[in-house]
Amino acid sequence: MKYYLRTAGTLIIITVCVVLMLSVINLFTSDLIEEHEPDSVASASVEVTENDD
Amino acid sequence: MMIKQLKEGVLDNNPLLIQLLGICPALAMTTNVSNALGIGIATMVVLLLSNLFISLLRKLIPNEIRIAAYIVIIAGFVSAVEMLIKAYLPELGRSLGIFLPLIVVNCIILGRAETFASKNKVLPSLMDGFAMGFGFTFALIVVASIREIIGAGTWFGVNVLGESYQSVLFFIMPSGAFITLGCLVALMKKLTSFPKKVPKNSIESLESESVTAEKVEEPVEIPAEEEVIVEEIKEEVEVAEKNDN
Repeated sequence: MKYYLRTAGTLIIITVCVVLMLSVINLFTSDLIEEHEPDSVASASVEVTENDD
Repeated sequence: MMIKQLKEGVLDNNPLLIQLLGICPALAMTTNVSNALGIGIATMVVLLLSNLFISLLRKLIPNEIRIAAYIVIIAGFVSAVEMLIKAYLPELGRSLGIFLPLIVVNCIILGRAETFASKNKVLPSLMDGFAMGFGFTFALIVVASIREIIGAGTWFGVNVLGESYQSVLFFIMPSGAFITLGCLVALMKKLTSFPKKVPKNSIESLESESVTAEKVEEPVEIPAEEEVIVEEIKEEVEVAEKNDN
């Protein structure tokens, strides 16, 4: 049981760390990407949110 | 150590020209040198970062889930590099297109993680990542240079063969990539398979070894005492066989 918890825990921790890293990078680059690619998925999702409001 | 690893990455064990790994981006992204340099540097950065982190975590990751963990780490770094390129080098990002996220499935990265970074310390793993990435980038630039110069008459977009040069479109097409890569692989094979010179001392030692081998082949005389013992054992075996019958 302990072994399975350790194995699953390691994989979950690695995944969470990678997602955190990508979130931080996305925070700094999303504006620039949107500037260069206005038709990208990121800008589309912003438009949908604005329409919902 | 560092120079040896670099030499291995560029010449002796080049990932593209010797191991034939990463052929997909090598064929698709070598129509011009700028693209080849871009995909090569992106691969090198991912290789460096993934080797560094896999080497750091090698004792923490259980053996059964190592491949899954490596893929998560590699995919994370590829996504990070993709976002950074799209943000700061949008032109390069557009020209690399789908081949940028496809670095995740590049065999070189997972191969080095599995064979080297997971078994070695941080510094050698970093050096291996740099050497292999540099070797891959070097090979891509060579292929792209040949294809761009012959196929378009330009190098890095600059006209090098004059206005009157008639471009050979065959080299820009995928078949041209196959032919160029095949010729380079053959050349690399020829260059790296020179017969090694055997020093004179080793020849003398080999001759002396052959002399001793001849001596061993001569019949060995068994001493009289041992012959008696062998005969006694034979007799005992015969008696035992008779008793069994």
